[in-house]
Amino acid sequence: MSEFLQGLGLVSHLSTLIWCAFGSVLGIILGALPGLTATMGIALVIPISYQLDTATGIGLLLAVYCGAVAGASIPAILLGIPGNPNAIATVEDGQLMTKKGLAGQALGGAVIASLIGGVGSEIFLIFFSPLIAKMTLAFGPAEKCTLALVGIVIIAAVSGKDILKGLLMGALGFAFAFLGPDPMSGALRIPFADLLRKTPLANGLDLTSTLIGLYGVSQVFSELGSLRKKQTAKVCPKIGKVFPPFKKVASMWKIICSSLGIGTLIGAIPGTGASIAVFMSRNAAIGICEHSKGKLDQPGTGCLEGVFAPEVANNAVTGGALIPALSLGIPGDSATAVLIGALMINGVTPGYALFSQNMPLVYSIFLTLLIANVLMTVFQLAGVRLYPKVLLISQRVLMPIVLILSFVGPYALAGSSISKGVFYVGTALFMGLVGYFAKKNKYPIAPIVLGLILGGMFEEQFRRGVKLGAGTLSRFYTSPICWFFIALSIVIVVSTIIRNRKNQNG
Amino acid sequence: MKSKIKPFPAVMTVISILYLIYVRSNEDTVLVADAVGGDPGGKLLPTILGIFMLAGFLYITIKERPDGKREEKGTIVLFLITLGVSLAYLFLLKYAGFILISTVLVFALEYLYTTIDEERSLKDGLLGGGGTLIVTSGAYLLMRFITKSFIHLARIETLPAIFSSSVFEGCISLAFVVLLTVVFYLTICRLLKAKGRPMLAKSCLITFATVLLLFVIFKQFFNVNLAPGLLNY
Repeated sequence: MSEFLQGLGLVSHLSTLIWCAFGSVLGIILGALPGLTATMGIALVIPISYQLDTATGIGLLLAVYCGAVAGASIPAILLGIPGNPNAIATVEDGQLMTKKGLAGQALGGAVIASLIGGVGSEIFLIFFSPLIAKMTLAFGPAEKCTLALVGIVIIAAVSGKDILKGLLMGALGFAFAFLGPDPMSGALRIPFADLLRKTPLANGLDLTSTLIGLYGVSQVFSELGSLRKKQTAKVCPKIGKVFPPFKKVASMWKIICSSLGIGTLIGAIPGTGASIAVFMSRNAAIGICEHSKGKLDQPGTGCLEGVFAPEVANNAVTGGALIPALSLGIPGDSATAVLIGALMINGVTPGYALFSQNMPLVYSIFLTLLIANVLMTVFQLAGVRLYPKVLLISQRVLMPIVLILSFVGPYALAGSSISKGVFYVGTALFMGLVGYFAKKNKYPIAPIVLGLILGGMFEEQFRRGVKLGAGTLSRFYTSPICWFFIALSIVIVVSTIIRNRKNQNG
Repeated sequence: MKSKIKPFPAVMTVISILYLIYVRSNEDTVLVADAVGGDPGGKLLPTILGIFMLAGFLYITIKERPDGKREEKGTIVLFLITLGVSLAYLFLLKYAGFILISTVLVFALEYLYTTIDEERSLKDGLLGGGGTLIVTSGAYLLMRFITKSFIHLARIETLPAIFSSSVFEGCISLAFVVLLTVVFYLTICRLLKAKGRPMLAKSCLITFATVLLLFVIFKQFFNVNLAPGLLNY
């Protein structure tokens, strides 16, 4: 109880509320604007979160994450274009409701559904993450090393159509992680050591600059082609009544429960992601409606049921995805991969140590997630008539702002050293180009991030494991947990190859 | 002559070879003064990684063929200009300073992107950019003068001590930027719009507000040493 109160104390500041509110609004706007993603939003606010105290900084990041996931429903409902893939299943019913003149109810319903999904999944997060984290007590260096391998394989499998390209990008991330001091001996490992010895690269590649470069700068370069396309004038539809009838919402309890369960479970399985959860929950909702004897409307006809199911699920994914992210340090998608990086930059290393040594901080994370969900609801409902106007902002206006933010962010991390700041800007630009060329050639960039995050741990634990085995791999092949993780990695690789082949063959 | 291989995996193959050469040519970084032994050293994993990358990228280079799609010329021009302006930002930030070089970057790209569908005028661009640079620099100097005056007056106890606090300084600066942005919109922007240059007005306004807001947030609130450069006041 005292730890909970300490955690409460960490977030009971006006500044925490203000920054969470700022993050919520920013997240909703980012989520609403097609082309800007939750991942990019998290990456761009890392430098601000770094300047704040840990709990407030994490609150800001979580608020952006939750806001962006929920905000994606705005263009899905009003324009028929999802802000990001999480809202893809909301498009059909959301658009039909808008055409019926029920845009307000669809938007309001989506907000309420997002709140239910976010808060509901958080209950699972609070319950399961300490238990899973406790399991990692049995992990030695060999197990930790193979766990990192699972993480990289998962993200390689989910972030692109070709797992080999994902694995190669993961390897590139590892190569970046191996720059800087050797984790065991401390010896410097950088190319052109005489030249670069006195640069920040001597301490390793800066994670924040890399994240911002890969997700902010590369996005600007990637959007240049679409900027040249004729921008059609968007029209804001009439919003009308916002709140859906309470009776209607209550009658959908089965849909809400099934979507919450699906969203949380899918989110908690690393490598699945919200885009799968939304379609699964929608299919489940169709089944429930068929057996409702006409009490519920059938999704696909422009009804609240078709908006509620995916919106509960996609926000439930946020809480679910945080379960392996906080307890094991394994992300479910690119947004949580960046979130883990951001947490580490803020001095929070996911895993058992966090739960055993810093429980007040864990409680503060849970509380800020709750605050983020509540604020997301408040601001999205309050601005339900205002946010549609955000959709009118052209990408042509936004992209230069994204670019300058992507440069100022890494610079700000250097504090008072101008040269260091300029070096970080250079890192962000270089990584932006790496990300741009990778994306252009259909190579996923999320594995680079995870490789960079996990690479250091992977190498250190691998070497410790080999050292404990007196120079052999005995620690690896005598551990059932290692076998499980290696088998899991192989299963993921093989199943992804089979799935991709099936998709290619039609 | 059309290329028969995709450039990206081919370049990455070369990079993998260079990476392997770099890894192998370095001295191994085994744990020193290690009585127990068994440390495989810092070269093992990078070597395995280099071999994996080389094999993987080489396989893709051989397997995949270019799809024949070429980037449109206009997009390449936009890419090169954006890259050029970004590189200029990187190399001149320290010397020109945050306010000046950020104004150039944001204005150049805003004007370039927002006038994609229109016929651009170099004269408009240069005059707009120069004008924005002068107005933004002037506003910055005025803002600094006001905040520094407050601090000075608070230190000699002419004003209450709160006037010298960094939060107060930030709030005053923020209010100043908001006020000046409104004034900028009502005067210069309206004038430019009346002269049939709405996109120029938009670019100027966005640049002015963005640069000064970023300065206030990072410098005034978070105490980041944004390079002063030529405007060292």
